[in-house]
Formats: sequence, structure tokens, C-alpha cells
Amino acid sequence: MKLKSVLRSLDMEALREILRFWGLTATANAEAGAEEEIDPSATHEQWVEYLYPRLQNASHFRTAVQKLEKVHRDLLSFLAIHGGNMEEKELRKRFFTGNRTGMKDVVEMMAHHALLFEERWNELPGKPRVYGIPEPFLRLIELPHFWRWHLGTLLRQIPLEQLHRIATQGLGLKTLSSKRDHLMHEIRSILTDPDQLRAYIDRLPDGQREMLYLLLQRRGVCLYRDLLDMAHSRLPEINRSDAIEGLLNVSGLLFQETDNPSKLDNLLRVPRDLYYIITHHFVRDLRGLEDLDTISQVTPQHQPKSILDAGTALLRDIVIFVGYVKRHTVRQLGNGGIGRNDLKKILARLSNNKTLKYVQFLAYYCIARKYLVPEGTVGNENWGVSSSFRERLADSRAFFLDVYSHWLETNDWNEEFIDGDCLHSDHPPTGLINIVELRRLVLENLANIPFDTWIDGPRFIESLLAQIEVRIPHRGGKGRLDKFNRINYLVIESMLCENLYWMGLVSLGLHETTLFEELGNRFQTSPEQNGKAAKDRPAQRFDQHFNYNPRPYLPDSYHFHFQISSLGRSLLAAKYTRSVRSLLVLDDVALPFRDDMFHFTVLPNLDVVAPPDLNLQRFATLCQFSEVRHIDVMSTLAITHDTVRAGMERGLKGDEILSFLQQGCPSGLPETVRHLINECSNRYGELVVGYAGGYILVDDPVLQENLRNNKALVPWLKDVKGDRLLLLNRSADVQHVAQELKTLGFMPSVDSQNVYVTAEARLRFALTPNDLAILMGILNFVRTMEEELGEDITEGKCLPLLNMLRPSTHGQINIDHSTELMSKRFEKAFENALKKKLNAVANKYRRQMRDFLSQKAPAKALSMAALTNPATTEDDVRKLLLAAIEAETRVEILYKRPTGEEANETVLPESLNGDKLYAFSDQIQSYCAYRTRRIVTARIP
Amino acid sequence: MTQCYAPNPADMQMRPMIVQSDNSILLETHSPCFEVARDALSGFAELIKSPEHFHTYRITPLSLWNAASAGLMAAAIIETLQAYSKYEIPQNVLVDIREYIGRYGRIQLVSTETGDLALHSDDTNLINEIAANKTLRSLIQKRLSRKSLQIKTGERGAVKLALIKIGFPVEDLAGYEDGTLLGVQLCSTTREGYEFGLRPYQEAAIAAYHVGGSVSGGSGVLVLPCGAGKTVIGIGAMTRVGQETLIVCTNIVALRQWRDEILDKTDLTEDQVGEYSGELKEIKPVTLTTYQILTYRKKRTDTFTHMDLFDRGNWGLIIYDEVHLLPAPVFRAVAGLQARRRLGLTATLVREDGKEDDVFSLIGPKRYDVPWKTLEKQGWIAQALCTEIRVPLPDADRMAYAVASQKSKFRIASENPAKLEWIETLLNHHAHDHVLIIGQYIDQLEEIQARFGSPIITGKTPNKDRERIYEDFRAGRQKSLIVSKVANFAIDLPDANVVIQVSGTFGSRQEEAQRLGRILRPKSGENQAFFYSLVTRETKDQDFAAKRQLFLTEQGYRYEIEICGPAEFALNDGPQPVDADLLEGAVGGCEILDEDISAG
Repeated sequence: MKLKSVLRSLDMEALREILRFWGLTATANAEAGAEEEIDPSATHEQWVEYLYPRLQNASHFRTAVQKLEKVHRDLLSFLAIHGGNMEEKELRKRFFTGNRTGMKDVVEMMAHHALLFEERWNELPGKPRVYGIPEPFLRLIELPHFWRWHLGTLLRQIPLEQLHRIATQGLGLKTLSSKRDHLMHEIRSILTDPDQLRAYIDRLPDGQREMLYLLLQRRGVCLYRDLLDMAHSRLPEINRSDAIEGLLNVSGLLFQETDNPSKLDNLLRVPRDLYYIITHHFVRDLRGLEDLDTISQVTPQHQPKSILDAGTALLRDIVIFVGYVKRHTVRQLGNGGIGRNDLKKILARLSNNKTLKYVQFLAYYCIARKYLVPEGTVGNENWGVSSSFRERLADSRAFFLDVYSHWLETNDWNEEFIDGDCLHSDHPPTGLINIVELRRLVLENLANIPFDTWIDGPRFIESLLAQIEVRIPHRGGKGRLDKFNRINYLVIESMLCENLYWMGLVSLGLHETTLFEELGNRFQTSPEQNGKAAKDRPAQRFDQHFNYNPRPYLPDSYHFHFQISSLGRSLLAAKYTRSVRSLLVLDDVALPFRDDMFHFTVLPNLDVVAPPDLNLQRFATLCQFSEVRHIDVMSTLAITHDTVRAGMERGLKGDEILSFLQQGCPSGLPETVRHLINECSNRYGELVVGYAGGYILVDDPVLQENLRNNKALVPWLKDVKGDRLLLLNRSADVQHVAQELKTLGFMPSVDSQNVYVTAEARLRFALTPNDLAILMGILNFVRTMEEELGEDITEGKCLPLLNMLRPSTHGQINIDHSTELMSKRFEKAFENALKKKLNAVANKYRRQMRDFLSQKAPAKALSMAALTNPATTEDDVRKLLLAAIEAETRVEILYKRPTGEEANETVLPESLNGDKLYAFSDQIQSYCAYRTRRIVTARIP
Repeated sequence: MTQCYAPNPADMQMRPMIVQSDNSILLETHSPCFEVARDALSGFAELIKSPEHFHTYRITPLSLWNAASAGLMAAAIIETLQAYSKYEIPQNVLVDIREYIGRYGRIQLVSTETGDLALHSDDTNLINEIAANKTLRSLIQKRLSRKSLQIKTGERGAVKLALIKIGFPVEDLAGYEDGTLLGVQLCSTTREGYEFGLRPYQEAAIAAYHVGGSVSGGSGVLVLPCGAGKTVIGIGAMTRVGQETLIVCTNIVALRQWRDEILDKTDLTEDQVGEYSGELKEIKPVTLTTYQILTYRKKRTDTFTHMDLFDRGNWGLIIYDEVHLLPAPVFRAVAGLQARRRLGLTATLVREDGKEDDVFSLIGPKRYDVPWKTLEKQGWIAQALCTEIRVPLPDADRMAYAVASQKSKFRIASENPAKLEWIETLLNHHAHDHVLIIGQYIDQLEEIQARFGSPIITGKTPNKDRERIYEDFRAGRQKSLIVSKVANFAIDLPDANVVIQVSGTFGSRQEEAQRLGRILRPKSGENQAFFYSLVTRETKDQDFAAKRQLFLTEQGYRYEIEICGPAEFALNDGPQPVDADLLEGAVGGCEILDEDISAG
């Protein structure tokens, strides 16, 4: 019904009430600018004319809807789902569960506000009483995707002529009315009646019926192209195409969801309600609004037993991760990543219910953002922490958005690949599609689902599969079953159960807690996938034939639910689809990240309890001298001798730690903590473990005696010197000894492994025999050079140094021999390098000479008389080239390369051998060979 | 049932609760809503520790089950959490609450018409699950119906234990076997003519245990600080049950203290109260015995001679004093005594073997727990100031310590002779107080006795001598007393107000707490007590001391640390009482040891 007609049917009192309810006053709608107040004494028609355009305004409509109660809003949605109107009988049964009084109240209220109309369509058989939404409002109601694509809505979207065709040609009706609403009602009445629908399908031509059933096997959704291919034929057949067109144009059973330039790319869909009726053995569809929501219905048997909620632990985990790298030696692998053993150790320190892949993600992010940088010599690099990381911690909101946006925009972390990290993989996957678009699609859909209920994971993914086929061309047909290129289902599962969960945007509800490590991290599509039985099953055969297997094996245990967390709500409500850069500066994105908490609590049992909103820089500092015990809502860290020592090894001072704790703990620092730190501070360095031969230097004779009698250390001790020094034997690994001392409760400081500066400012080096041989080889080589040249380049310092470095341990290491070999290698390499350099110089000299001569005096005067210049035929070109060689002059050629590419070059011809021209090219600055037949033109300037 | 507590602060930062995903709840003690939130929590969460700044509670299946049995529903619990939670509540906690509360009453232990015990549930699947459980299968006699399973005779305790472990605490409706009736009443005045009445928290503890005599009560553990009057609570429970009672104590001195208390505060006469010990073998309507006598046997391979005491009387109630010390053989006996009412009393439900949960399972759930500091604030126990004095090891001993084996190091450090100087300083400082010097090693204690002349009580001291010395101390004829670990617990010395701990059993938390408990009886005047722990600095003694102190720090006590010399300490006039940082202690020792470690 038209809105204007609805308004005309209302009395003046009702119109005034509408004006009030919709908030249509000049003051209330200042943004509307030209809004004028209506004269209260205006006529009824003037009131209608005033209200009519304003009620169609989207913001006014939103205002009015927000004032409605839930039942009223739901009614609007329910009617919109079914095309905007519904017969009273059906509406009462389905929406009001038969409650006539309840229905009357709701309907009256809605009608009173012009949001609903009630009509009796006397022109139609049975003279149905119908309730509907005024037409202009329908376009203002946005339905989430799980409520779309029911017959009513689809009928409303097609042209009136097509409605006529469906009614007359398809259903064979004698139309009694030309009104769209009436036609829609008639068609819908027949098609949603199970008996009539069954009879109608039986009457369809065989081809159309076959196509319809094929489509139903695909859950009622399919690409046009796939539908054509479904009968195991790669070529579209005209009969099939005709059948599909027939279904589309006149049946009312099939609709086109998208409108692409090529119809083969269009997504076809059987209306959801018809699909329901058919697949439920032709029962009447009596589902209410909640039943139509197929993704957020959680049945009692599927109620999640355990919930995983990552909360806001992500940032703290990153800080802990980086803190670990800072405090430990973490090697850089050949592929540029971090080893699994290190990742496992870090995992144990992070928040609960996380997997190794999570740590990989953190590692990937930190490396990609260059918060972790390689340090050390090439080929022997460890990971270090860049200074930019601490700066990043200054604003946790921006930090989180950075992680989020990085994930959103990167292809190097790709959910299609089971390991996620494509950059640091030993076997990098190939053929991955751009995952960014898919992520956006998932997020867009997440933004449209109910936020306050559990969503059925598999159903949500199912609902996306069809959209992927439309939005991401060629993505849908891909179904290679390996861990490098996983199917769409598993890619989305990975996004939900891994990245989005890790970032705290969704909470997961699982039936088997132990399975959380597998969800999103699997590639099986069926139990038989690795076996051979699959080939013999028709469905599998079909999937394999068309390389299409969109759904994995999904036993109940893999069934999961998810719910958008409060963080997710904030983010998804903030129009994340805007460019990420703008997202980062959005102030209206209220994320639960705060930096303004600077206090924590230090307990007498040496635990530190830090709130989740503790400033991250402070948290990072805490991590430097304490050990993470537990990350939950609060973070619990423990201060121990070992952790304080570790902090001191990284340069922290006892009083700095104390001062930091005192500032951060307003409730007062317990005595136990103060004494512990003082004690560590005093004791740190009581032992010095050094590398020069391996020794332990102590500051107390009793301590020396203590160590000397320690069974754990005895095997490593060689000798005792005086009352302060213990010498280690050759087999002792100094690092190992230091570790053992730490285990025993001592607080040793360890000298630098390579260079130690003594109190007398002497440097002591620790070199491997190989290092020493290289160093001596270099010195020996320099000495040889000096001898050959007869020049004292190093001012006589080389030989004494060489002699000083020569060890007296000839019996065990033949260092002279190694030195000699090394020196010879350097000499040979030097000769080669010298020869190369001389050649280059000679060539350059020759070329310059040639240039000089050609400019000054050609070897022979060039006679142009017999030449065609420019030459275009091969003969003319050859003649011109020979003349140029003779005259040693340059030629401009247009050369066609084997690739078909043409290039202009200026060359100095040297010789012509058969069809090969050797010439020096000015562009390439080198001699090149040219085929004369490829020279398109040649010209002597 | 919705409970309404104090208004929740609109500013979330002012709210005191932090609900974590591991079902623990931290409660900020500095919040203005602390007390009201604490009261709300106590209905459905278990207090784990109560150090200063944060108290830790935990929501466990058992605590929720108890809450459900008290009529508290999931919605009310969630409402409370939401009202006081500073941060968003992790979803899994909400699900767990609904899930566990939903399990309440799903399985019940009932008596059949034939007198057997059966598990019953309306949920057939649950019964199937129980029947298929590996542990429970061996405890089930037969299947009575689709919804009932008969359990084997005498396996009631084991079945309950197993069901708790699989997450389905059974609602025990089978009731208890009644014992012989015993008319017993509390007196309003003691025999010495003092007024007597139960304190409010004692009343509350008894009520929580008895639950009006219903089947949902009658078994459980009451946890109260040392000096809070657990003996009186036990006697109160006995009068409430009104049946013949067996009381199991830690040692004979404690047994006699119980006897004296019973005779002092009830209308029972001496011929109604018997002692079943190494010296006497009486069985009377109220019989007192010790864990030692129950676990006595001539040889390791023999059966326990006196374990049948449990069956030799028709007991309507069995009280286990210091229930955390329950030895393994008694554990097994308790498992077979599930049909009798039972009450466990303790101050420190801490076992170094980690079997606290087994105590709950076999004796019953924790029915009442009150933080030490709460009673201290109310004045029911003395305020205690704890000081750890770090004494350096003399140079002469440092070398011996350095070269000693790991095992010997602790002892060398514990017996640090420099501690004697400190004892002298402290004795001078507390010249007018009643001082207990407690230590682990007899040699060390004898050396102290030789130097200061105070009487000493060790495991070898005959009971008569012990009682005489205790009596002298109580009467004030002796100002100081040296005791070994025999005095760790269950010794009532009301006037003692200073403890000097010179050595201890490695890192035993409950020993530390129990020793402090010796001085927590309320004192006249300032109600002040002092606990000194002498620790050898930078040795294993110090490391173990840190571990020993954990229980008390978790109860909110704060240790002052003194590293100055005795002379300086004397000059400063010792520790000054600070705010409410005071201690209290209790008895300890994870084993029933009435012997000491002697020299060598």
C-alpha cells in the first residue's frame, strides 16, 4: 500500500500523534535545515502532504524505529523478510503464535504510527485481510544476510512483467489484478502451499525439474556456471541453459542473486522458504522470526560446554613475547623466522588457551613491523628488539589497531596456508589468492549478525560460501585438498577460531576443549581424504572431478559457536571498512584499551598483580625483572632472585628497580621485596665467570671454598689459585658453568664471550682455532704483499702482531699450517681480483682510445655514396655495417629482440661474421652480438 | 533467589572484584565496597587466601553446589558478580556457573527400602555415564533401574569422592546413622564461675555445620584461626547433635585440654567423659583419643590395634581435631565411616602433601571459614607483629657451612650460634612478657636452656613434667619456656604473648602458622603479641623461611625484616606495633610427630 494512502486513511489526531512520535519538528531536526513546522490549523490534506515526504527520510525513519519496542521492530523485520506484507492468518500463526489479542495490540499501535497498514483485498479470491509495511519503508529496512532471500523479497525485486509471466505462464493463473502486491500475494500463496508446490514442481518440464533438483543438492545456491557443469559436462549445453533460463524467467522457483556482465558468473538461488518446504518433505513453513535466524540458534544439545575468551591479553602477550626475546638468546633461522623450540618456550608464558600458531602470529607481526631485528654477524644472527617497539607501547589503542590493521591488510599471513606465515616458511606456499578481500567479506558479515547471542560457526561459514563465489571470482571453485591451499570453509574457520579469537574480537564456544588447537588449524576434508576410498563415492567423485569440495568433514566435536566480544562490537560498529589509516585516527572507536593506569600491587609473597589496563611501557619494564606467572584479566608476575638477576644482566640497577616499584605501587612496597632486591643488588657480581681459559673469580674466600666443595662444580674445576680464583678445565662450557651457578643460587656475572677488557685496559680475546687461523692468514697475506711490493705498508706492525698471536699449543692445533693455507687462499683470490680489475681497466682504456680516434680521425674516410642511409633491408644494412666497421664509426640501429621488443641502440661495429655483428653497445656498455636479420633499420649519423 | 547487596558503584574503577577466567576472583581490600562484596562472595565462592591488598576467592563446583543447596541460583550469583566486577566478566565463568549450578540435585544418594544405598538421577544419560565410569564401576553393586544404581556396602565415601572428581557432586540424602542419645548442654557459667556463651562467629560456624539437623548438614570442616575457640565450637556441635561422640586429638596433652574444656563448659560429668590413650583405655559416652593411638601397631605388617575404636561405640558424631593432620590410615577409616556425622576442625587447611581436597571429600565440604585478620579486627584474637630477624652467620661457621653437604647446610644455618645473642636481646626486651622459644633441634634448645635457664619441653619430657611446666608457665611462675615441635599445636597457653622461633621444619607453612597460633589467645590490655623468627642471613635458612611465611602472608600478615645487630635493635627499643599488622598462629607439622630431632 502506498504511504500516502495510509496517511489519508488516518484521522487528524493520528496525524498529530505521528508528528510527535516521529519527532518531526523544526527544532528536533535541526540538521534537516529547511524543516518547517506545520500550522496546527492546516487541513487534513495539508497534513498528509507535510508528513508524506518527511516520513520517507531515512533518519526520521530510524528515529521512529528506535522508539519502538522489540516486538514491533521484529514485526517490521518479519514482514520485510516476506516482501512487506502477509495475510492475517499466516502472520498470526507464525509471528504471534496464534495469539489474536496480542496481535491486535501490536498491529494497532503500529498502524497508529503509520508503520503498518491493514487492508482487505477484495479483488482477490478469498478476499484476504493483509497486513503490510508501506512501500517506501521497505527500502529503508536493512535485513542481515541470514534473513534475506525469501520468496517475498525476491518477488519484490523482479520487474512487474516478470511477475505477470510467472503468474500466467508459470503458474497458469488468470490474473485478476495488475497490482504488484496482489500478484506477489497470489504467487506466494501458491508456492508456499506445500501441496500446490509439489504439484507445480511435478508439472515442470523434465529439464527444469532436473536443474532444480541439482540446485537443491547444492543447498539451493549455485553459480550459473557450476549448474551448467553439474552433469559432468565441461561444456555448457544449450538444453541445460534453456532449462535454467526457464526456471529463472517464469517459474518463480529460481532467482538471480547477482547481476554480472556474464550471466555465467551470476549466483542463482532457490528462495530460502521454498528450499525449506521442499527439503522438509513438503511441510508448510510455519517458522517464526527466531526460527528464520539459522545462524544464531543454539539448541540445548549444542550449547557450548566450554568458552574460550582471549579478552584483551593480546597486547600483553606481545610485550611478554618481545620481553622474552630481549632476555634470551633467540636465533634467527635460515628462513628468517624463529625456531619452534623458542616459540614453545614463549607459549608457556603467554595467556591461556593459545597455540603455537598464535606465537607464530606474534612473531610474524613483530618481525614484519621490525620490532624484532636481527643482530650479530651474518649467518650467526640472533633476534634483538628495536627501539621502535617501546615507542609503540605508548598508546595501547593505537597498538591494537596496528595489529588489527596489519592482519587486515597483509597477504604474507594467509589463512589459506595452514601455517599462516608465508614469509618464514621452509616451503613457502604458492598460488594463494588475495586473502584481504575475503577477510573484509567475513568482517562485513560479522558486523551484521546479532552481537548478543551465540552464533553457530559452521552455519555462519556456510552462509558465506555462496557470497565468496560472487565476491571473489575463482575463489569458490578452488578446492585443492592440501595444507598449502585450504578450502574456503577452513580458511574462514581459521579466521574465526584463530586470528579473530586471538585478537579478542570473538569468543569461542566449544564442545571439546581439547579441540581448540585443531579448529582453524586443520586441512582434512574427510576422514578418507588421506585414503583412497573417496574416489569411489559419487559425491566425492563429483567434487574431485570439478576440483570442488567446499565443505570439510565436520563431526559434532568440531562444531563450534562464537560470539562477538565487546571489543569486537566496538570495532565492528566503527565501520572498519573505512581505510585502515582513517580507522587508526578515529576517536569514536571506543576500544577497551587504556594506558592511564600506572599502578600495580606488589604483594609480600613477591607477586606483582598488574591490572589489564596497566600502561604497556610499565608492563614491559616489569617483565624485565619479573617472571610472568599467569595472564588472565589481571597479570600476575613473580619477582625472584633469578628474575632480578636476569634484569641486572640486561643492565638494570637495583635502585632503579626499587624506584620503579615504589612509584608503581602506591600501597607500599613490602619489606620482603625491598630486601630481596637489595640483596640481589649487593650480591650481583659476587662471582665473575670468565672465558679466558675459563675461570671463576670470587670476592670472598669462603665463597671460593663453597664452590670448591660443590659436587655439581667439581668436575669442571681444574685448579685453585690463591683465595679468589678458580680455574676451569678445558672441557668446561663457561655458559653452562654460569647457568649451574645460577641454579645453585649464586649471582654470577659473566664476562663477554669474545672480548674482555681487563682492569688494566688490556683486551683479551676468545677466538676459535678457525677464527685465529683466519686472522693470522690475513696478517700473513699482508706480510707477503709487503714483501712482494718491497714496501712497508703496515709500518712494521704486521710481523710482531703475527708472532704474538702464534700460540704455543702446536701439539694440539696446527695453526701454522692453517694459517699458511688461509694465506694462500687469500693470495689466489687477490690475484684473481687483480686480474679482473686489470682486464676491466684495459678494456676501458681500449674503448676510450677508440672513442678518441673515431672522433678525431676515422681510420678510413667513409664514403656514403654507395650506401643507403638509413638502411632498411638486410643487404643494405650489411653494406652499411661493413662501411662503418671500415670507418670505425658508430651506427644507430633499431633492433628487434627475440621477444619481439624493439630497441634503439647506438653501437660501434667491430666485425661482421655471417649474420652476426659484434659491436660495442653504448647503452649496455659492453660488447654484444646482433643478428643482422633482426636489425630493422641502421643509420650512420 | 535474588539477593540484594549494597549499591554497586557506578564508577567501575571503584568496584572491588576482578573475575578471572580460571574462576578465581580477586577482591580488593581497599575498596569502599570490600566488605559488602566479601559477604556476597562468601555465599558461593571459597576463600583461598587473604593477604593484604587482594583476597583471592575461587568458584569451584563444590562451592557452587553448596550455594545451590542454600537456595542461591545462577542468576543471582551472576548478578552479584556483575554488580561488583571492575572488568568485564569472562564468558566461560558465566557458563561454568550456570553449568555447575544446573548440576545441583541431578544426582542423589538415597537409602533404598532394603536399607542399601543407591545413586539416583532423573537423567538416564547421567546414570549411564556414571555406570560406565572406570572408577565408579568398581564401586557399584548393581543397576536397580534406568535411573538408579545400587552402590556397594561401605563405599559411600569412595563413591562421593569419585563423583566429585568427575564433576558431579552428589546430593547426599541418605542421612546418617543415629548414635546413642546423649543429653548434653552448654553451661552459662564455667566451673570457675566465669560467664560463658558462644561468640557470634562460633554460633554461625556451628549452624553452618549442623544445618538444622538436616541431611544436607552433619559433615564438614570448619576453618578458624588458632585461638578462635575451635574446641568450644566442637563442644557446641556435640551439644547440637546430642549423641555419643568420639573426639580424635593430636596428642595426649591436647586430649586432656579437650577433656578439661568439656567438663568446664558442659553439664557432662567426669564419668561420662573417657580417655582412650596409651595410659587409659576408657570408652564412655564422650570418648577422647589421639591419632597416635589409632595408628599404633607393633610391626609395620600388623593391623592397627585400636582402629576398631570407631566401631566399638555407637557414635553419633566423630570430631577430628586438627583435621589437616589426618594420617593416611585414618583417612582410609574415615572413608568407611560416611554414615556417621563427622566434623573436622582446623586453623590451617594446608597439607604439604597437597591432599586438602581429600579432606573435604571425606570429612565433608568446608562449611565455615573466617579470615584471621577479620577476627583480629573484631578483637577475638590477639594482634600479632611478625618480625623476621636476619642474623649473619659468624665467620667461624661460614667455612663449615660452605663445605657442608646440601642436607647439612640447613641445620648449620638453623643452629647459628649468633641467634643466642638475639634471644638474649629479645628476652631482655620482653622481660615482662610470657615468652615461648620454639625450635626444631634439641641440641640447639638445650644450648639455649644452658644459657638462659628456662625450662624445656621436648618429646622425651614425661607427660607429668610437661603438664607441671605448662602449669608453671600459665601461672606466671615461669616467664619463658623452651619447647620443641611438640608444642607446635593444640597446646593452650593463654598468657603466652611472645614467640621466638629459632628453627623450624624446613619450609612448613602450617608449622609457622600454628606456632604463631600459640600466642593468639586474646590478651588483656593491648591485646598484643609478638612473633620473632630468627633466620640466618643468606643461607638456606632464609630461603626456607620465605616459604614458611607464605600461609601467614596469605592471611594478611606482614613480616617486618630486621637486619641490624642485636645492640642496635636494643637501642631502637625493638619493633613498634604498626597499624594492624599483627599475627596469629597455630599448631603445625604435617605429620604426627611427638618426637624431636636429637643431636647427631
